[in-house]
Amino acid sequence: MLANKLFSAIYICGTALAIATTTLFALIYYVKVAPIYPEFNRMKTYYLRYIENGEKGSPRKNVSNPSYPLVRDHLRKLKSASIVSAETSGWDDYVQLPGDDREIEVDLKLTDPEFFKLYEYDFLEGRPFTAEEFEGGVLTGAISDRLAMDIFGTDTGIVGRTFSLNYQEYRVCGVFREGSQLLPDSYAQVILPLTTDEEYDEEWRPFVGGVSVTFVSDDGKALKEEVDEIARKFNSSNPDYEVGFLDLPRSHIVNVFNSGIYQEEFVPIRSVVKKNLLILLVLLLIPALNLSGLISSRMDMRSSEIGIRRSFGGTRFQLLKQVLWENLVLTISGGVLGLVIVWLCVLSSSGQLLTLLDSNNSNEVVSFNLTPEILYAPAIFIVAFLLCVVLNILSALVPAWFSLRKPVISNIE
Amino acid sequence: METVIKLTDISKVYTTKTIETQALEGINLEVNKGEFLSIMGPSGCGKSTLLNIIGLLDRPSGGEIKLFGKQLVGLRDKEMARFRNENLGFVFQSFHLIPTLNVIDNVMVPLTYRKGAGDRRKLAREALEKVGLSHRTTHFPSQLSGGQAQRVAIARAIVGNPSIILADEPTGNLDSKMSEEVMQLLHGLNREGKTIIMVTHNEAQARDTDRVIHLFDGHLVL
Repeated sequence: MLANKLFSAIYICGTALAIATTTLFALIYYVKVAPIYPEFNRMKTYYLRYIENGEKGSPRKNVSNPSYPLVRDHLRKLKSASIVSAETSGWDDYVQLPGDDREIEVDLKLTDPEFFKLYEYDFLEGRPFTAEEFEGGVLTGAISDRLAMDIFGTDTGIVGRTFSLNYQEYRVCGVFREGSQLLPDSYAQVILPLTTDEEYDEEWRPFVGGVSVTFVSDDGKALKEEVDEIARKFNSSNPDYEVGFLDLPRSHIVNVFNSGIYQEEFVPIRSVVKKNLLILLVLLLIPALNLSGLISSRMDMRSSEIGIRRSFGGTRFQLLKQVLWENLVLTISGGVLGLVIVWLCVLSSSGQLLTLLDSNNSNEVVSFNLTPEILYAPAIFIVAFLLCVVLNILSALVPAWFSLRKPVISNIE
Repeated sequence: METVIKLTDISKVYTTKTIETQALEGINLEVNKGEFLSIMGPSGCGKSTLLNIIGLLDRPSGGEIKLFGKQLVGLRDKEMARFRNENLGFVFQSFHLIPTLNVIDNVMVPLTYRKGAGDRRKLAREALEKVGLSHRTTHFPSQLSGGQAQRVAIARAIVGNPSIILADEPTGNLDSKMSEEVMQLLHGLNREGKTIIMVTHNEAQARDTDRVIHLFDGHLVL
């Protein structure tokens, strides 16, 4: 390795680029799919976003959001869901900074106490709003540590103090560690009781309102059956009007890969996984072939050494192990460099790079908050290491094996 | 006298898509323990091929090889490797030291593949002392003269205490003074009881050995 610095440098850089591209790919999906702060329940999370409603028999139906009364009166009674949370996001919400003319735009969520069971925010101070505060529509809320710093210049000792949101005073009940905009289902800087919105339980038509519903369930199939049963019962007792739960609690992974409304439009997860594995393979295979060529020419140069070692008692297996081991050291060096490149790229792009594969990338966020869970995920280390091993095997095993199959004397000469 | 090497009807054919070359044919040879045997013949007559077959570095196309009474044709790679490691030492014309290893690490190579070899560094140092190069342990092959490099190669060949040493034109790349030093070393090893088979073009060196055999066009000639 040290004997041929140029070879080692080229190999390490080639590996680093391969690992960087594949790790970035893995990181993009890791952020979307893996249990990550504060969305630790992702594997058991289901969403209900859209309700189809209209006159019975009519081919044209409206598509709307579910209502809070649907949640309160029906969905909370589901046996197959351990958590049912309703939320709605704010729109153009501004916090007025005290003693200052300035105001800052904030991400707001109006929700219920279940939200804090669904998304396990770390509270640095205080607590989420209580069920009583929710029922009473108390003007209180939890704010993120970063927002606390912006408003109060500190993120401690501020529980009980008030802040102004859209020129309405709210009392701080707790300060939580801010998540990332890359996780839009949970991300918020201000979390208020849904009941502070006067129209929170308004229904324009039965079941139709303005919230999104999120469930935690161990059994998605049972959950779908129960939700469908609500629609069936309702439709059978209404002669003129019918509803349908279009996306029918969709699982988190389905939600990641499908932004559409109708189930028929959903891309099957299997084909998405296949496509992504294919991309991953290509990202890995092309550099592996290049590196394999590099190793192959290097093996020719080292053929004599291999022959000498064989003539003095080295077996094919021992030498193969030696070549793979030496190569693994180079590959892992490249892997570490690749990880550093990914981090630098992600950090310098303020996280924008992680939205690279989003098909509906209309995100106006230019700088994403990158939590430690995103950057230092053990899963990403494991992925990178496994990639190193695969790359090592792909690039070194074949040329080494071909070289070792020759008679000893052919190696020496 | 104990026969340590017995070749019976050994042949070697090199085949390409269009040409078949008979490198060796009908070779029968016995070498006794402690014998110093020279193989001579014109270039391309099959001397090195024969030495490589005896050293299990190449497989014969036909015939039998017995070393220490053990039939070796058809052994698996692992068994061959072990046999080479324990019984055979090689000295090549171009030394074939590993350029990225220093002298002592080069000498230790055979011990790397031997279980229970003991203190490898100590054994390597002793082998280097024997060839008069104990002061050059940290040098790299590129820092050695031809004679020194060949002496390191001899140290590597004897470090594992093999019974048989196979030398393929060991002085072919050396001047006369260095050739003399190397030959003295080989004769010294032979006096200690090693069986030595040497391929050479040098008649004077061959005359100093116990027996000389001649090869011509892949056949043994008397």
